Amino acid sequence: MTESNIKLIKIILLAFLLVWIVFTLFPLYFQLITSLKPVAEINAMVPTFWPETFRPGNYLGIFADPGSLKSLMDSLIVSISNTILSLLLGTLAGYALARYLKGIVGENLAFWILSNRMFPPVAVIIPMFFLFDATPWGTDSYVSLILLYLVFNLPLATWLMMVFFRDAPRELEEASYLDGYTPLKTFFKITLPLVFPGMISVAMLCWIFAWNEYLFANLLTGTTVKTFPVHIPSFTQGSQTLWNLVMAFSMVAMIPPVGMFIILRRYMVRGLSLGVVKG
Amino acid sequence: MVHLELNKICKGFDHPVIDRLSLKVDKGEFFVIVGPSGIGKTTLLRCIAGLEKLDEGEIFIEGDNVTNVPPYNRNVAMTFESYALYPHMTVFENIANPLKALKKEDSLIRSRVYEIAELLHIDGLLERKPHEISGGQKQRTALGRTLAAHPRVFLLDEPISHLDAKIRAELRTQFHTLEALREVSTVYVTHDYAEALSLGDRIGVMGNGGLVQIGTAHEIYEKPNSLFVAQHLGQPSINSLEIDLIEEAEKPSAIAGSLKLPVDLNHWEHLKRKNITKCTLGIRPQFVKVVNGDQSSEDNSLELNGMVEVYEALGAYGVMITSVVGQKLTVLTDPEDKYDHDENIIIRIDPSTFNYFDLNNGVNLIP
Amino acid sequence: MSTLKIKNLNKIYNPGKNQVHAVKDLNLEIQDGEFVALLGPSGCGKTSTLRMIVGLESITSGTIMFGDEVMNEMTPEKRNVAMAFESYALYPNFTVFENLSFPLEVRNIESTIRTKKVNEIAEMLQISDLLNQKPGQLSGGQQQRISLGRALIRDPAVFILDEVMSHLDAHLKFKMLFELKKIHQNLKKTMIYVTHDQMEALALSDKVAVMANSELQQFGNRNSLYHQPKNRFVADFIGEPATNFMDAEYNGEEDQGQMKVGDSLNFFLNEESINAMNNAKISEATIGIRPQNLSVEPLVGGKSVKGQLLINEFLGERSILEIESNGVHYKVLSYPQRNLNKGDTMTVYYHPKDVMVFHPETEELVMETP
Repeated sequence: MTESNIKLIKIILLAFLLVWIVFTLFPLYFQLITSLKPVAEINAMVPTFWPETFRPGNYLGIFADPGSLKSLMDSLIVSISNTILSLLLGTLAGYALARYLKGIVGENLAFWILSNRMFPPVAVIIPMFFLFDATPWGTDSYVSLILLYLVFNLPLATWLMMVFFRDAPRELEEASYLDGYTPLKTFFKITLPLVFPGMISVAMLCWIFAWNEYLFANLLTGTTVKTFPVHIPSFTQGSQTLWNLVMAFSMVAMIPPVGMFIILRRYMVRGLSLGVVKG
Repeated sequence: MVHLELNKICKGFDHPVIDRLSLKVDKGEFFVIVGPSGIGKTTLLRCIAGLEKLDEGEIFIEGDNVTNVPPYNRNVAMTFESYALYPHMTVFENIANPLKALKKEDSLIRSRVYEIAELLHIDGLLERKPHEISGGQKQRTALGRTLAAHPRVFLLDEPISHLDAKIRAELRTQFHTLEALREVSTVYVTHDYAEALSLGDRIGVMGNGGLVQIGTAHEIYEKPNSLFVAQHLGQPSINSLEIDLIEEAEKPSAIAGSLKLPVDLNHWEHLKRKNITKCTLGIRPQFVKVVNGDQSSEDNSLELNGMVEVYEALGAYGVMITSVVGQKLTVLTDPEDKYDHDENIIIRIDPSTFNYFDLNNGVNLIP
Repeated sequence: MSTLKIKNLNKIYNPGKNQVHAVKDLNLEIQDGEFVALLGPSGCGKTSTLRMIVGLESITSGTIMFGDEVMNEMTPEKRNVAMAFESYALYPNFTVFENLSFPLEVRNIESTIRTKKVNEIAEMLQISDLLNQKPGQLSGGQQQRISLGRALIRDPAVFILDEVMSHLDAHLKFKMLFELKKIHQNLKKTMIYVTHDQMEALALSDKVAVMANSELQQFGNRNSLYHQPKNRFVADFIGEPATNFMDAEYNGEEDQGQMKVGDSLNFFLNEESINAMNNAKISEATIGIRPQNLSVEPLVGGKSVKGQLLINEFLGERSILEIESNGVHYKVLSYPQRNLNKGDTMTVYYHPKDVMVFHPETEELVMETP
């Protein structure tokens, strides 16, 4: 392969990448400009790709409805509580699976736990509804929604944490035993810091699932608790959907996950064990 | 005074790795276990540390039976081959870790860590993280961590084998001079025989699930009890030839193919008493000398013609593979000499330096 | 194929502010059939040099010539260079036979010829009985031999070995060193052996190119590297145990050409060094003496110093004695000494010709200019 050939391939690949970026970013761009348009312009037959009239006021308009702010708060309560619980239980279970349940039993158990993620969630909607209806909290409550999301997040968290713990060098724990720490203290002092980047990644995944979930939230809750995905369809005027407000609200709802990702990214990309063993 | 005692310990995974191994190490003794890789040396250390549960047998430290004591209560320190430094802690915190486990006061911890860091010449690195220091410095930090809390037994697993020759020599000197190691007993594991000979007060050669020979450096190097020990200790490895022993007119000889070598009369006495007719002859490469012209012949030695096959001049010595009457012999030479491929030379061997090993079990036939 | 010539070779990574000058003005000439080692600590530029010879890295300036042909713009496959890697790089799903014949297959060589060549190479490397096995079933030494075989089979003009022994344990390494030397004796091919281990380099090669800090320090055979090291770095890097270095003062002819180390330790220089010192007009220098040039047994025509034995380190074939004279420590390599103990007073002998003198600033060997 000659030098010029390599250059040509580079250019072709870059061009492909450019097309791909435009393709993926366009919906986001369209969402942004729609959120800034007046209703009339949205409904125009020929869509505009740059707003003819800017309406930044849309962003204030969404908060005229007090339900908007409450739905964001509800979403935060549910997703944060769920993330904390998933991480706590998933970390402990993952450690147990990684260190104490080896061999056929451990492998099967771990796989069975993950298999909970494999059935389509819709399949369990009806049983779940009756199940939570029978609890003291009823269906329309924070507790129910948090517990329900655990059903989906916990297997993933457990599985991923198990993988991270397996990658953490066993020798560091053994060194700590010999330093005089009991297994429990070693877990908190040595092992957890090692899998910390993994925990951040798991937390992000759990949080994003709980933040964006619509199907179950719509069916189980709606009055006492109303998360933001359930709140979005309420931006209507008669039979007309106010797309500019829907888009503006969606933009606002995107801020927490994007912001969090930017803040936590540096923890996620850091390697697991940073040259622990040898040099 | 016996400080550490292993009594017929057994440990196996799919197959037995350690089989009824017994050992007594005295207080202040530096005991080195040497053996080829994969022979179970690390498993043995892990058993003493309590990281592996024994299948059978008992372990005593200072007379206490610690067989069922978990590692964090044994007060035993170990360095790992991989160093196993905590990556999220600084060098200071790594060394301080065992002291923190004992809930010592902060000021006490600080003074002890500084003391150790100075001893090991890493006092300038205390604020660095493990990935910011070199291999030799990591090794010193790991050693510092084991020294910090005054453990009862030191276990060192291949502590210097991954380092460059220069740093290895430097750290060997350090082990010679570190008084802290002489206060309690140390078990040191290595695959490098020179390291073992250099450091060990006594050395155990491990093979086949147990210690094949235990003795001082001079004992095991000069009087190996088996071919296994002789082959493992020494580089280049001992020359071994399968020979027939015959006696013609009161003169015993060893025959290998068409090569005929005389047998020392003292050796012959033992061999004759045991009725040995076939065995393995072992000749250390440094006892085969290349004759350089004018040197006068010594009484007992024998001169033979040989041809150079390969010659390599290393730093401290040269190594030659020479073909002598159809047999290949490795010879240690002066590094300043120069030999060409296919050059004819004369070599001199002294039969009193020969070793004789049993053909089947490799036992040294000369007591 | 004739000589491999490297002229004023330079390699600069990331030209600009953060540029890294990986190879500086390298000049090297390797004769046909020669075995040359490229030796240096990690980061000295030896890998960059090797990659430029193979054609995996572009050349910033300078030329690489095989015979009279300039190779600078030639792609790797046209250079006819074969390489064996540190990591063996064998194809795990191929048998040994397939691994060996692969380079020929790529070049569309007939299958009967391929089989014949594979068998020849396998016989030479003593792996004939392994041909039907997969690499995963083999030991490190066997895999290493196959990796060598795969490079040899193409019949390349230059044969490059990159740290091929660093994964082998000591006993096996020692064995492989001799096998490799034998292979070279049989094939008489140009071989370039890249390593950081001075023992391997000295053992195998006709000549060694010592590199450090992106520059060639010295190019020569064992004897010149040992006895006339160009500078302190070479003297320190080549040889084990390491050379003893001592800071010394020199008062010219008043002291009859002695180097004073500390208050009362003196080392004699030979005539040539004395002349060189007088010409250089310096009053301070670092002296270096190799441990194997010091002896506890009297030497004919030798001088001596006195000291106390600190450590008698027995290593089997030899011993290293660490000796202290008035606070100065140095090591002596000797035959095993059973009867010497710590604290014994020793007389250490040396030849004045073995005392090397290095300039205090340039760290270069102080030599008489010819």
